[in-house]
Amino acid sequence: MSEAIGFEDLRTGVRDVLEAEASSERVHRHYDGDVEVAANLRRIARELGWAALGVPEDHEGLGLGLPGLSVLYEELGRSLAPVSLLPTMIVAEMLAGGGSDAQQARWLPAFASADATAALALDGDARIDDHRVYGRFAFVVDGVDADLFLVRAGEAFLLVPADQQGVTIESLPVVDRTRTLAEITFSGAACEIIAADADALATHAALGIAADSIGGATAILAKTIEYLKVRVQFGKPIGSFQALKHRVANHHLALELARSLFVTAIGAQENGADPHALAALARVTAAETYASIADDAVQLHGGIGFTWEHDCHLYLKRARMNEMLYGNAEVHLDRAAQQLVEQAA
Amino acid sequence: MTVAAVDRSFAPLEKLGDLAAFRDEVHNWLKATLPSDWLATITGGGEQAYVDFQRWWFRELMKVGLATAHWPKAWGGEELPLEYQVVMNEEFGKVRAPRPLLYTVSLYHLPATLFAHGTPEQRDRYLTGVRERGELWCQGFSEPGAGSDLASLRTRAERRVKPDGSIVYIANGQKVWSSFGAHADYYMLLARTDPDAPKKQGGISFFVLPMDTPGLIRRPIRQINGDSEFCEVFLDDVEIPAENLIGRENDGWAIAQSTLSAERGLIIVDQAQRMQFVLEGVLADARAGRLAWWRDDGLRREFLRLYAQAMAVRSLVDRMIDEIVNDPHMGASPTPTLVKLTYSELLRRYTTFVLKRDGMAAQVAQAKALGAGKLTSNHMDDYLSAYSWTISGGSNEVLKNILSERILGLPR
Repeated sequence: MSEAIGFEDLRTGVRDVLEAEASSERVHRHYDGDVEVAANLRRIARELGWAALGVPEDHEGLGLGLPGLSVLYEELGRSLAPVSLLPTMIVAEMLAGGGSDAQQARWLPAFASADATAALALDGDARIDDHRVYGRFAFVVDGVDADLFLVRAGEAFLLVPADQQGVTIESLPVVDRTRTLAEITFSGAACEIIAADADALATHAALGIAADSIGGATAILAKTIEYLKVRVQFGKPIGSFQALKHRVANHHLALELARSLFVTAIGAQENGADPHALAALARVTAAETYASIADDAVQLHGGIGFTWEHDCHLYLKRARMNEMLYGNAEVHLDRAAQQLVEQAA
Repeated sequence: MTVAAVDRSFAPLEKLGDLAAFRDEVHNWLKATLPSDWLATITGGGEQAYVDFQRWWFRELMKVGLATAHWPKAWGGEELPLEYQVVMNEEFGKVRAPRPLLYTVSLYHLPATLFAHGTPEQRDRYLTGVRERGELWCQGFSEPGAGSDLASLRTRAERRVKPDGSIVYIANGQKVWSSFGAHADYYMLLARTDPDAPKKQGGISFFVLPMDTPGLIRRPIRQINGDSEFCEVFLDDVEIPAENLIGRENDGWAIAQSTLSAERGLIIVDQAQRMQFVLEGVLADARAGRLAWWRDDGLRREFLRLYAQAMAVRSLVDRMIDEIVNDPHMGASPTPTLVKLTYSELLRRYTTFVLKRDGMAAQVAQAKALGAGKLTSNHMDDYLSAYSWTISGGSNEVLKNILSERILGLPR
């Protein structure tokens, strides 16, 4: 299927839609409590088949692999669209690779039609007792509306449907309002073991966050450069000052490196060397570059960058959460080290 | 020096058309030709050991045609396609074989200049000199007052008609940073022939001359690492025949751009490849349990950040190679600028990391081998030498101005 959709066509198509449906004005409206913006985007994800991209073809999806999905993630990141697709696509991959026929049949078509979403509960103290799960997960991203949780319990992974006794979802106020955050408590919820591939999960999450970060960093850096060209002080555009030029030149270089590494990591997913290590390194590089660019964008914009109405803080907040999502930098660096050295030894 | 016995002759250039066979032939030739102890034999031997070794190495490379393989066929080369040059570099890098660094200007800058701007006589005379006699060239562009702002150079060359009717230029001034100037046979000189030109780039001419021309005095410059790779050159009424002018009078600035374009391509490809081999070597040592510091979380993570950066630079280099293959002149591509900036900053970062990792051990002064490369076992020297990439070839600060204006579109 991936050959049938040219990735650049996919990119253009997604971008065109998001420029209208997740415009800066709409994302601000979402931030300020207009629930219609996110509902509309979820409808679009259903109608345009975005949710189906990562679901296998024999389950009513389009069977696009990571190279194609990363285009979608990058565009979502570029526009800051408040719609959750990454965790659902990760769980879809886990189901397709290690789920039973029944598990696949129950969830994959629902993911493809955007009737169900999933979230990852990876960092908690889950334990299983008599086919029931117990434990607390303090920070589950995109967990508020999720229909299914993929739960890590020691070395095992579990599927836990949200809509049942024994699952308590407490919504937490979240700084990056393009996402939701929940505290999930399992107190004897029914669960099923799934043979999920932990490396594939980590790699999909890493590349998803890397793509989102590359998209967001590209957007906020371009906005910042445009601002430096038009903001006049002391009788000239502030972009003519060398102190500012060198800062954006450094950001541009860092972003070019992050993008190159990301492209290399995506390329390594198919018969490349060290796909997991490269994904982890690309994730660290991209997320840190995004945070550094979004951070400096506020300063480079000056007073206007410090206002709620400007876009700077939207990018900054998403960037800061990206740095922490599905494992921080140290976790990813240690994973890369392990892949490169211990597993290759 | 123990030279390995050559039990058969090698002809890598006869393998053109079969990249894998070419790779094997280069590999086998290196194995048979380069003594495994070459580095040890020149370590501590100072400049003379280095120069003697480089001259020997150049002759060996010439025997199989590899030194000038990238030159056009008409001038004794093989027009070696870029992918073959990359493979050759890879094989050299894998066994840490030296490049003919002493001959960099002779092999890259001189032909880049003469192919574009030389007369047939000039090409014949000077390219044959490199190929057949190993003539060494160096570059006289920078001046004490003209570094990054090269076009402000002040060395003068005044046109005179001698009593016998012949035309000469009389050069006066001071040049600096002539690499390997102490050993060079010939000099590429930029000098101002029209001080009244409306633009400072406009009145500059490009000359070539023998280094032993009367009035030319060279003096080595001692660097922060103790080496004297560079010379300063004083020109006192140096008489240059008109036939030694390259191109037209006052066209020197554009010609110098051709010369400098040679710096952008393969030299940095080679550097980046070698850095990758070094980092892969660290991983191999870690796998074998040979690195005590690998268990230190801070050092290991910092190394992985640098490894990530190196992979990213390598990927930019690959992009540049693709661009060169598609368009050898690379037009207005920003990629070479990105590669120069990112590689040089990575080199500074990595050598700094290694210095800190070594602790006090790196503070013990060590003997060194000139020309061993940018990443050797002498980590303090690697650290000190790394500045050469962030300062030369347009300082990184100047390149960042250019990047922000030409690539990002910021106002001047």
